[in-house]
Amino acid sequence: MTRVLVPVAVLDGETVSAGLMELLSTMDVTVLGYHVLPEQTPPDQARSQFGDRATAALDDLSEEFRNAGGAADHRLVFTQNRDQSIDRVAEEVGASALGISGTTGDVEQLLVSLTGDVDVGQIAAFTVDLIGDREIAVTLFAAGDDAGDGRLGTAAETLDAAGIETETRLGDGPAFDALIDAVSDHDGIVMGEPAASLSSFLFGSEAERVASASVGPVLVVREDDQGESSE
Amino acid sequence: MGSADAGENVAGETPDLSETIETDEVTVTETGELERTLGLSGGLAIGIGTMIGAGIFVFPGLAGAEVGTAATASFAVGGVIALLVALPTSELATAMPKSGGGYYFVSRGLGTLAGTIVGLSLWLGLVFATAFYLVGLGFYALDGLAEAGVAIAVSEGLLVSVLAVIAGIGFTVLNVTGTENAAKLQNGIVALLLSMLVAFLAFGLAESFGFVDTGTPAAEARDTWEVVPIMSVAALVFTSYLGFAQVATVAGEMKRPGRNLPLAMIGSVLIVTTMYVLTIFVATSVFDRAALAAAGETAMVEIGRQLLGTAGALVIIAGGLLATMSSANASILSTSRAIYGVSKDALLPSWAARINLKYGTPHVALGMAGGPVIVLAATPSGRPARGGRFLSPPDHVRADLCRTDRDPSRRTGVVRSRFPGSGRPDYPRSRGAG
Repeated sequence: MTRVLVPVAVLDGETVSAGLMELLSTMDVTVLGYHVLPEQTPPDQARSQFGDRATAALDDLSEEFRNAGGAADHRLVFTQNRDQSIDRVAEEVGASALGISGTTGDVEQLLVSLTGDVDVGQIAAFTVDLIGDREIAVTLFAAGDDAGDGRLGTAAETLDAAGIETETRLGDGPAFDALIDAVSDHDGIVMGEPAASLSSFLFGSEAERVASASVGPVLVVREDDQGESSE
Repeated sequence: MGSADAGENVAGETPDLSETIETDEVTVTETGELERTLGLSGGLAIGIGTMIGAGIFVFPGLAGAEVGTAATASFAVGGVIALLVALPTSELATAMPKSGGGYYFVSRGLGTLAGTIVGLSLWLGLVFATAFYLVGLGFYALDGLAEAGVAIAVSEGLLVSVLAVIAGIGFTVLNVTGTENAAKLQNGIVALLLSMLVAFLAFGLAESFGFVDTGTPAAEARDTWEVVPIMSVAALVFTSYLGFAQVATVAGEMKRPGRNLPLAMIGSVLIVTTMYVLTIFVATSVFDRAALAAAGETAMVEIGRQLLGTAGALVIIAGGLLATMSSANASILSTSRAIYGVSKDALLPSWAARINLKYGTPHVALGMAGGPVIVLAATPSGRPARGGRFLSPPDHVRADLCRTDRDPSRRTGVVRSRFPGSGRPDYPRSRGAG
């Protein structure tokens, strides 16, 4: 089964929305509780002080995920570098995607962004697995220079074949702004993992900016580095 | 020694001895994973940063006054000895890649009593050393003010103490508030300092070999190329090499410890040795023994002035400020790690390692580092700090003590983990069995 990693800043009071739990009911989930420490603090010191409390919170969260439908386990990591920890654990558990919690409830309209240098086939296959036999409508979206190469059509075929109600949409103007515009009438987003760029260095990753512009959950499909299956 | 498992302190706290699995990227414990985030450059910055502040601008004058250019040999001897110490220390740190450094080796190798003594003296030693760096910082700042033509109305000693106390409070606050990028700042300071030194030394070498002539006086006092004076100066300057072992205090956070720990320790000793030897060579080429003796501890400032005029003097002063800053900051960080190691084994109350909820930093441990430092820095003469070097058991003693472990079963533990990276170190485990 496809696995999704859900990072949660567990000791900062972050939690997971019912919307994401519901959306991921067709998936295996690993909840990654993390706590970011300043470099003045040895991670072991934080573990001995906060480890039990964090574990209790993670037990509750994975229980809720199990109640929503899928299998769920959890990991806990104390780190001074959040991204490094998320990448490592995602690799170790073989996660196909990362989940960023939003605040909404049920997801009925899913926006699937194919913009950028992403593996269209992989995103489409993930979307099919995610939706399963549920009544969730999909909008396939592409903007900018990427819209013209037929990737929308390719993905639409995959989704149609799986019996998913699909429409396609082209965005105008700068790709990122067009994506943010399209987000507004959807309550969940699936997107690729764009390569790090200068703007991601300045403003945080594209996924994080999309997540903050959206009230719904965001699923970021991970690139398959060596072309091997990430399941 | 094995009774540590059952021991408890007056508050009824017992040592936290959870089993761990170490990999190159992470330490897996029963309750969670501890990410390793520090790379080789971070380790080098801690090693170089701690060492270089101690003596690069102070010892050349003192050592050069004793034996002249022969002091290059003294620094080289000191470097070789430091290297011989760095090898076993990095082996121990690789076998036990835990935060806490020297305390961890000794308590696991020689038992609780020796561990307690070393852990507490490590703390005190670092406190004294940090105060020493801060007083040095005060002196450089004073020189900088004098160079800038600021008239000083109060006595020098008072001003130095005030500056040292302000810097001590500053570093403590910086660390307690968990200021982001303090390690990047540390890396930046070390990089800037190294590039300034390289530029300065390149010019100095060009001058020494006659490519550039700034009219330095011809040497009159002879250099003393004799074994005994060279060795006795080597003993004096050896203290300026202590510091590479501080890399071990962050061993638990280093990526690929089997590779990066030895590289960081040995690399920082080699880099610092090269810097010292070149600096002393330039210093003794510019001034002879008599002139160095006359200039005393601030001889390097005069050498900078001789080579490049006022700009040269300012470069040395700025370099001195950076070097003492990096050493003071690195030492405060190491101190709080050392306190944590001791507190984890219930040798200090657990509140000593408590983490501040607002900033996420161990404020008590940092305060136990910064508080006494500020008090020491405030003492009018500022000189007691010098003694700190002797309170801290020299790192080579600490490291080598572990190797003379009398219990054969323990010794095999060390031998088994001889090979860095050969697998997860099982040595700490043998403690429970013993």
